[in-house]
Amino acid sequence: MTRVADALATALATAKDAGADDVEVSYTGGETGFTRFARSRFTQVGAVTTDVLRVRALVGKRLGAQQCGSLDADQVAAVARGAVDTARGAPELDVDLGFGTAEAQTPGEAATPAVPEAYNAANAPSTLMRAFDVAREQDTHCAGALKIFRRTRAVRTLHGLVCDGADAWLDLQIIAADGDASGFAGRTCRFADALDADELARAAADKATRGRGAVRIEAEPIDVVLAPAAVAELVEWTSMASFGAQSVLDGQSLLAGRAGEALCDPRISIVERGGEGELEFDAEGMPRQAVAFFDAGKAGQPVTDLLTAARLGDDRGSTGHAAAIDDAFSHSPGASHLHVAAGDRTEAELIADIGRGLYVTRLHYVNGMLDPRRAVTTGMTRDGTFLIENGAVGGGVRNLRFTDSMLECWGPRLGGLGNQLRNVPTWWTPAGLVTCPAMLIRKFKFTGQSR
Amino acid sequence: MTAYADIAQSALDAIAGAEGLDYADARVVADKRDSLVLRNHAVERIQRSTSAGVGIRVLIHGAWGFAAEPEATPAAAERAARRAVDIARGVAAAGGERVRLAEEEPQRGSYETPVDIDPFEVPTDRRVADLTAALDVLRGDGDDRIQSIAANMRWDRTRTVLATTEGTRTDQTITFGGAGISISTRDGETNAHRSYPFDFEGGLASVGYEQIDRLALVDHAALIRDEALALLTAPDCPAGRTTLILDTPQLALQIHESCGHPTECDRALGDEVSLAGASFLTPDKLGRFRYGSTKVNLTADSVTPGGLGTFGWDDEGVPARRTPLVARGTFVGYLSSRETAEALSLGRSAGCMRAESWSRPPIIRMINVSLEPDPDGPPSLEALIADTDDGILMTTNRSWSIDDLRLNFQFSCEAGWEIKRGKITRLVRNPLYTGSTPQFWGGCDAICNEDAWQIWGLASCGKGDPVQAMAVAHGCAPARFRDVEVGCSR
Repeated sequence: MTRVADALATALATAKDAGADDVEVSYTGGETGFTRFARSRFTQVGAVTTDVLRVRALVGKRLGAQQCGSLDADQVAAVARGAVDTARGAPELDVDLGFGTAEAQTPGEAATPAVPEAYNAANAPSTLMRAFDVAREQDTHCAGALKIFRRTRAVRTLHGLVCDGADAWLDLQIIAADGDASGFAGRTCRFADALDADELARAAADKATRGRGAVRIEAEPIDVVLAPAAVAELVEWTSMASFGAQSVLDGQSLLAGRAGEALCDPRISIVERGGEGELEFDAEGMPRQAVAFFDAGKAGQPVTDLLTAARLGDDRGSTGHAAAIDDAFSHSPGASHLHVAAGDRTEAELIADIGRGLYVTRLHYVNGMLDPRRAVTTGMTRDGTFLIENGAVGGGVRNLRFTDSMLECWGPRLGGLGNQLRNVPTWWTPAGLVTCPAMLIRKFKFTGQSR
Repeated sequence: MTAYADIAQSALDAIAGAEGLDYADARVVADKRDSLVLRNHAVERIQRSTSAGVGIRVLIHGAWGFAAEPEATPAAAERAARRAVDIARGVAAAGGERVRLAEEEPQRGSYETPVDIDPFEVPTDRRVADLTAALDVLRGDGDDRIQSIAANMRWDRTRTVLATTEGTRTDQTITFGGAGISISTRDGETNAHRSYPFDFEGGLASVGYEQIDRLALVDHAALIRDEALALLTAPDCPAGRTTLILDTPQLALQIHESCGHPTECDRALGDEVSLAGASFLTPDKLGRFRYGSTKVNLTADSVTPGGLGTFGWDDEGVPARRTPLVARGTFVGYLSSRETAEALSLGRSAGCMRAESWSRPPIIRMINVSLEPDPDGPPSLEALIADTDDGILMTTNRSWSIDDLRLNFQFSCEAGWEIKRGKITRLVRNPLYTGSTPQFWGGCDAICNEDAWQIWGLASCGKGDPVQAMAVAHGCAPARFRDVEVGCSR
């Protein structure tokens, strides 16, 4: 960390000398390895090293920021001076803002473990080729990606905050396909956990095989069991639309003005909190607090960063959920690891509770912006949608479009929750996870068909 | 400081003679972005971001490897090049079919976006003043149903120096940016939102600060404020099958999702199936599939002035060009790369390989994908409405969703208007329409002429894994579609 620590110290000192009243320096960097494949061949394989350093300066009530992708001392100093210059040219903030202090800091480790041998750059292709062979035994071919992340984060402020942390994880997603049929299996885990590529390939191929000869059914409300990967997409979009403080300030969030109201079934609890081995502070160095968006069905509060907490007048202060400085899509605070409480039934028991319905493995192109106050969400099924008849999973069904209110699905139409939790990675949120169970929803509203 | 061309060359020199090396390209990229967001007249974000680095792609025994380093130095370039070779060797050793590239003449030259007013020379206080003027109008007399008003401005400049083992040496600097405004209103449990020209960072173009005057934010602020308030008491959009007119901000997204993405060759070949999905426009349909009505002509280009997909060369050195995608309703072309052009015997790449930055490998992306105007069409949206007996006009996207083959789509819009006997009769809220791509475009029976044609930029098209955000553009004139399923998104 010397290289990073030196750059952070340079930025702090330079911004202070340039006349800043308060300074925050935030660093995110690391390595991403990716092995993408399709048709059981490799399409993009690479390794990327990144350094991102942001300096935010306050001059009186004026805030400015500059960011660079380098730890070079001259560039870092220029960015620090630039942040102060930017602040001087900015209008005054509408609220009092102060960066973190020594009292707020979170102890942490800055080291990341080594990548498991089977998945390092030298061995990953042959590990995956063996998995492709497993899928080939069922006449399917594989598409997907193996990703390996090693990330470090460090934050310093003029008033003594010092935070260092690191995390690392593996993610393997496999779709096995054969003509019209496809099946999905995936796993996200820490380096220390076992990840069996062959097992995932077999599970995906089993689903694809079962989906052969998929039939078309009418798009109409029908009972469904949503697998965790499908539940995660619905939760992620609801989070993007409503769980961040900015959407509450805008009055568009389903949480706005409803704290304490019973919006969902009492079995629904959705909480943002860090998991084992995850970073415990955000890009502003604020400790990541646990935040309940739904607590036994009752609406909670949003996640905040320093600025939105000040604007909300929130007693909690920042909840430690500032946007990552390398997030290309969002600059507002947001959840990064959502936990949905498990229920008490196995997935088989949920399926057994359906006379006629569908099992949905995964969703595609979900969008939750239709009516955020009711969490109206649309999307398509994909990679393994099966008919359920008399409590048993049957043959494949062609993909369907749904459009439904999550408040209704998680409210009066919630049929049950699975007792097994799975980690599902998010695509829109860097380093994001949803940990959730399967879900039984009554009369899930399908509104259209694919082909 | 070492010249970027020398840094790129040092990467190639480091791996020259590597056993099995078929091809390599080295990109040295430096980018700069200014972003300014004001919400309710207060600063939400004011930031300049810069980065510089190298991205090296190699083909060893027909297998790709990519590596990137966050420094624009010869040492970093050499390190990345050797790492890319190691990665490609691991892939080649695992076996599989060889990648081959379509022929392309080596390129040499430079390109720079024409800019009248350099946006990076415009001081912060002028930028703030330009946005504040629009916010003042949005706030109006302070109606308490207004929940939030926002204005944003963004400017990007990227210099890319490319060198390949085939002899290409190019140097280009692309500048783009613009601004947008939005307003959210609420009355009890009823919400509304309007933006101009749309969310997704507003009206972006590959030009200079002159774009801000062209957008006329102040002129549009009063209009969207009044609409956002009126929507709170407007009736829901009626449901049923009807005639739909799309104004250009929404039509641009319709083109993006239902033409741009399905004509991406990597999707058509199944290479993106795990994430973004595939395409119904499979290679067997090329040259024969009826995509839309004979009114429908869609073209990909990287030459239209102001387009976010306009450049000198793509990121594997293919020069800017035009490629018809749909001609008189028939599917005739793909957005392609050198690899996919070879795989499908297309002859040449359409020049669509683009990378978000030095830290990402180039992948097939949209450039400017545009609906051609109808020379015989109405000259304006008003004339198109006057020519329509009964229907709905919709504008400005609110939500977007389309299936993994790019067939079944559903879009909701910020605002709609009922049309009766050639006139707008009333505003309707939460309008939504849904359909299947070929049927929808097959129902296109009118497109306005070139007088009403505009090109809109979208800078956050997400694709790839790890995800990459790309700047693309869509030109279009208002168009009419018959027999479309419409409804209300509530």
